[in-house]
Amino acid sequence: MRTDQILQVILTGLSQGGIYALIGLGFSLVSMSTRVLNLAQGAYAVWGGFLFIAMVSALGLPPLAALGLAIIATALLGIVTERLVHIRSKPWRPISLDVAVLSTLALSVVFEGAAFLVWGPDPQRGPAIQSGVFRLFGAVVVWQSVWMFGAMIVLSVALHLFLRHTWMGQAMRACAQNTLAAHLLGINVRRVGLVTFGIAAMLGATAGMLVSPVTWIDYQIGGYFMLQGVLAFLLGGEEEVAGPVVGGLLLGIVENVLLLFPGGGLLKQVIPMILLIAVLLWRPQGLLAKRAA
Amino acid sequence: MTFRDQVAYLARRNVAFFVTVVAYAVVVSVMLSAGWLFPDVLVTTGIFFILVMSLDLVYGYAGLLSLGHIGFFAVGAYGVAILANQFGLSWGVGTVLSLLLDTGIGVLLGYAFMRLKGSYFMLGTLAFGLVVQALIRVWFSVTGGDAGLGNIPRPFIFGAEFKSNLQFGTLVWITAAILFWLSMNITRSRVGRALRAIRSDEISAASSGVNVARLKVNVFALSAAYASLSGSLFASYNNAVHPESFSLGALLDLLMMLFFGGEGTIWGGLIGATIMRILPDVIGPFHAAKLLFSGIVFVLIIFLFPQGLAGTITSLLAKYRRSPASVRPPDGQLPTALSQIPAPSGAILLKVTDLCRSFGGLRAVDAVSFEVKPGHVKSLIGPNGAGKTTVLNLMSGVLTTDSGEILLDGHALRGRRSDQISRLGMQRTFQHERLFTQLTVIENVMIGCERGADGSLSELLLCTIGAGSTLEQEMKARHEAMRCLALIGLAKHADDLVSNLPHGQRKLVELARAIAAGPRLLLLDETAAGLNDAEKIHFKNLVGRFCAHGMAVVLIEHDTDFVMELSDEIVVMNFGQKIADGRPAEISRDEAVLAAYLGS
Amino acid sequence: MCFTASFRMNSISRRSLMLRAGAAGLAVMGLGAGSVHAQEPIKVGLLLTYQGPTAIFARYEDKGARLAIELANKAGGINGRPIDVVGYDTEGKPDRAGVLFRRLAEEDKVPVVIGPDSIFVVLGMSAVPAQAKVLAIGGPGGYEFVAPKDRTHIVTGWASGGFANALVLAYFKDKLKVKRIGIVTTADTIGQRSADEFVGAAKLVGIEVAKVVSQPASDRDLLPSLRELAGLSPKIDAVAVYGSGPFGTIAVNQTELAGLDVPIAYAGGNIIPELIKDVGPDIGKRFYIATARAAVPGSLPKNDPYAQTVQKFVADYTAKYKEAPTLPAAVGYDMAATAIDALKAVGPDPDKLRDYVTSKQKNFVGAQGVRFNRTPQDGYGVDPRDNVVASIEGGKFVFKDYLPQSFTNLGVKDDAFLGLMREHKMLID
Repeated sequence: MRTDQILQVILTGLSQGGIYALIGLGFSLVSMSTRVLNLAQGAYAVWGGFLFIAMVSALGLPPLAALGLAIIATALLGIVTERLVHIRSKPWRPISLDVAVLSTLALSVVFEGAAFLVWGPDPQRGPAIQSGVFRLFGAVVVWQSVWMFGAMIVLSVALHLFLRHTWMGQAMRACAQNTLAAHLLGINVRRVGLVTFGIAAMLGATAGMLVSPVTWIDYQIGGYFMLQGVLAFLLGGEEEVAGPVVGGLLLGIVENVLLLFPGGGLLKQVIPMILLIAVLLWRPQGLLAKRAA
Repeated sequence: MTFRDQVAYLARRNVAFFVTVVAYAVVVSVMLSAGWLFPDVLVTTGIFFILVMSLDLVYGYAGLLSLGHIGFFAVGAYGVAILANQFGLSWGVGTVLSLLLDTGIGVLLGYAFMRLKGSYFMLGTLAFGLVVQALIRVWFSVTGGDAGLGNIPRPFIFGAEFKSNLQFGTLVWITAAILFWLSMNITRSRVGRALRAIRSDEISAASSGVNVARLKVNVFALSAAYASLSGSLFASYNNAVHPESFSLGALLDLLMMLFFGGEGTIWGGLIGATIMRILPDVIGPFHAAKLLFSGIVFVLIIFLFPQGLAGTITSLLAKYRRSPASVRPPDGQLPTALSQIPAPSGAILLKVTDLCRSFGGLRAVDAVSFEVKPGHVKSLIGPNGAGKTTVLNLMSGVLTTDSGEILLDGHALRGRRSDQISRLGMQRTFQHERLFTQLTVIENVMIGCERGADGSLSELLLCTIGAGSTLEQEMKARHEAMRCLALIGLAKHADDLVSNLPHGQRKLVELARAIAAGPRLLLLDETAAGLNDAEKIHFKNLVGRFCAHGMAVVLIEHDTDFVMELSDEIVVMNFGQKIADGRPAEISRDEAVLAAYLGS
Repeated sequence: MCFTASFRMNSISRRSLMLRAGAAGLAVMGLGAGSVHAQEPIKVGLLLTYQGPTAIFARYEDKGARLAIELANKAGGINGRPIDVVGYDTEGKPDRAGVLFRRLAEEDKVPVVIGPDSIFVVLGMSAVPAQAKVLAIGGPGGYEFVAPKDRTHIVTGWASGGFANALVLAYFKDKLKVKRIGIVTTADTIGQRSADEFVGAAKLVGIEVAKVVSQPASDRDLLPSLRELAGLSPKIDAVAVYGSGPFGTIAVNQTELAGLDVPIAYAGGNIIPELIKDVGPDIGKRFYIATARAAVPGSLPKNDPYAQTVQKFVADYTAKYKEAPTLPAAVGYDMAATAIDALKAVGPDPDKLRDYVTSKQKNFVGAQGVRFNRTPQDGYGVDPRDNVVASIEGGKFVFKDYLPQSFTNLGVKDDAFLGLMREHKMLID
């Protein structure tokens, strides 16, 4: 194997991993504050991406405006998810986890079906922040990938600061520890839940918008994103921000490193899921978390 | 019971089921003859009904939401396909071999994933399903990959060929009917009750004698077998298999079938499967909206009809359904369990020696020792946080002991599971009530009578074929439970759901459940807490009667007067240590006790 | 009476419960839907995939097929009888496709089925048409992967399938002087077999295959594989890409990023504007596909023997749909036209139709710009060499050259070629 091949694989892995990390962050946030595994997370990426493309090409809006509008619109989807999941719960009577997860699954089907109705089966791609490539020691780096990775880092840091230093962020962490206690302390648990889902949806939407110029998106890709995001989240563990980031990047690199081996294309389809099972069985708290699950 | 009685009993218990089956048959016939329904839909409905049943067994009853059953389905389908193509094996042989493989995988996965909770279990099973699908795509030299695998023979069983669609459809529905009968046997049996107990509250199910882990694994393996059979039929019907039929979309369809029909009913799968199979045809020209439509329906079901259609129908018809408990009033006899409490082999029934347990740096129980004689009442008192409940938890196996010894009539209890300890003759109630809220009062007590379920494969199989828990045995258990309830004074609430009773009566139900097993040693954790004066007197009388039959009681209470009246001996704890042990009169004068309660 | 007449005039109608209910209702009203007053329509099955990744092709095939039927009905139908379409959606599920096919044959009693499209759907139910004894005029571009014993009742309307695509290598050797290629394909069965077709074609024309690399079909970043090819030594001077959908387009586009500024030989179904509109101008110039004439109507030489057929199709299609047709639309048109021609010749008898299409239909000219001569040994019925070589300019395919010329220039013997066809099951015994 040549050095530039190895470097290529790692760089591709990092950029793909960045996307998984963004989606994984959405999982982490929601799971952290509500214990729910939000299977609709991938759908936010699809809708965010499609809305952005539609606004830029069909409505002719300038990209920044389209970006803002698409993110806000997708946040609404997140809020819809939260409403449905918590439709029958109160802070002192938490929802059945099974039912909650199933509601998110049902919603993801609704979102996927709606996307199919609106945009049909065509894969589409949006405008890149910066097109073109550059060379790095013989490996090819796509500029958009750099932006993807950079956006992921910036958002992760911002999220970390938000969780540690703002009132809402700390309220979210409080709800994660003990919802009933948080409620009794006067925290509006419902509002915190809404904010959590909203932010998670926005993160998903960002992922979709960033990735569509490179990989194209279609109505079915939500399921794929969701699985990768879940895997990133589980691999990294329950450390709110660092977990999904490390997990996502690791997943991206592992997937691509497999390509260096003969039959890599085949291994790549099987190994991630086996990895998921292995993590669940032997280290369910993930790689980074300090305490056992 | 005469045959007529048996039929009457079955009829009354299953009103909703019969109404639905008859209605279903009528509607289906009408739709078939009008050409609104196609025969092929009937065949696939039957096949998927079997698959939904498999998931209902584990989720509706044991509460394990497995998202990987499509994986078992795929193994059943591809097993037959690969064996037919590579080795020319017939459908029958292929099906049996796939069944064995699937059951084996089910056992493995069951043990592997048993420790996983909630969402993680779902993810683990989901990953399994996806691994199977990926393997199908990747190992294409054997499975054909995304080119699919064809040449799957139709069944040829004992000389009967099932080649035509009509014949095959008949085979499918006969199989479905048999499997359905087997499932109903399980759910109506003690194993079914034990499963629902597990779903309600695993810890108290274990304390009542259910071998939780083993039962879960066995049911999981059984459901894998169902799914395998369904897959083998599916493969043969379509004559070919392709990975697309076993993808996430297939999982979604399965979940929708389960929830439309109603999980926990088994026969709800019939409704759910039919709806999902008809849906594409009903939507017709609007098929672009099919995905959205099914998603919306799914959301509505979860939101409006979480019990599904079958569950809703059952609720509507509930008033016509009568249970024989109300048919035959209690016969005024004492529970046989009480009269069968075994005599101890020595003077000491329970001997606790230097019991220790720490949580992190906190020594919750610090070298506690005491003895209990048969037929005696020993109370455990002390300020809050003294470690009393922890001692009970250590004794009953809910927590593991760090060091020390617990001997029940010579049997060492340390290191044993709760259900093993319960079978050795110890039962308990819990400080924060742990009843099986999804069961009725009498069902809660019956689990006590039956001493749970040992979860073994033989027990499961016997129940499946209806031999392990015949009507006679059910009636017997019911009578015994009624006697216990009559003794406690709750006979008229036998068929009520536990969640509908007021607090005081719920605690008494827990008591009834505990004594129904005829334990030699009964642990009562604040059972009298929250009872009013009349109820407390009743409780005291009950305890007296139990002791008269040879039962020893260890109880934790805060009402000191009550404790003084009731106990033969009292153990006082503070900060995890025993500070006094003796007769009530001695204890009330003990300086250390007074200091602990009043401060010196 | 007028109710039934107007009901039947809607000859291109979709089967749905509502329709059935309507007919049942009318029958109940005693208006007799089965009266022999007007001519009894002939039903034809249309079974395509409207959901999932291959749905983007199906909607063109659907349009083309319905155009052919509409034109036929306007011209008087089959001996005065109009053609009714009974359409179903396979949803991309092969098992559902099998069930629906059986339903078309046994319940709706159609004598012939147009479809299924998409090779993996066909492969998943390939035994069904023979069992149901109804011919399937399908649209898979990988028909050669269908098991020989199932081809008795399946033919394909897609004239330039994967095998034909691979033959572009003759042009590469002849005109582009290519000596060494690398192949990029999807990591699955069909990807593997398509790569084999490139390997076979390369051997036939004398090109060396340096390496075959593959990634999962769902992958969207193919730089690792492409970089691996770019780093080979000695350098390759062309790359072959197999992949339908975004995989193919991304592979093509990323050759530039990977430093593979070499000619690209493409095999796959991406012959629609949605998938090629983002191919940059520099890349388009070095992109080559061997495909049917209908892909390049705007630049086809005027003296081409099929020019008139193709242009007529374009005119009819544009008149009805107000948009330019694509190659899949022409394929759909031909699938339907084949059925219509057969129905005219032998009437709505399933066995006779099958017999006719698989052996007796001679020199049937298709809108794709081909002549179909099917035999039981050859379900395509066309000479895969008789295609054009096209490139991409401005988001459209443009004509570059005729392919047969290269075979002649290279001196490839007919029996060597037929041997290759047999090897890849294009011809069976």
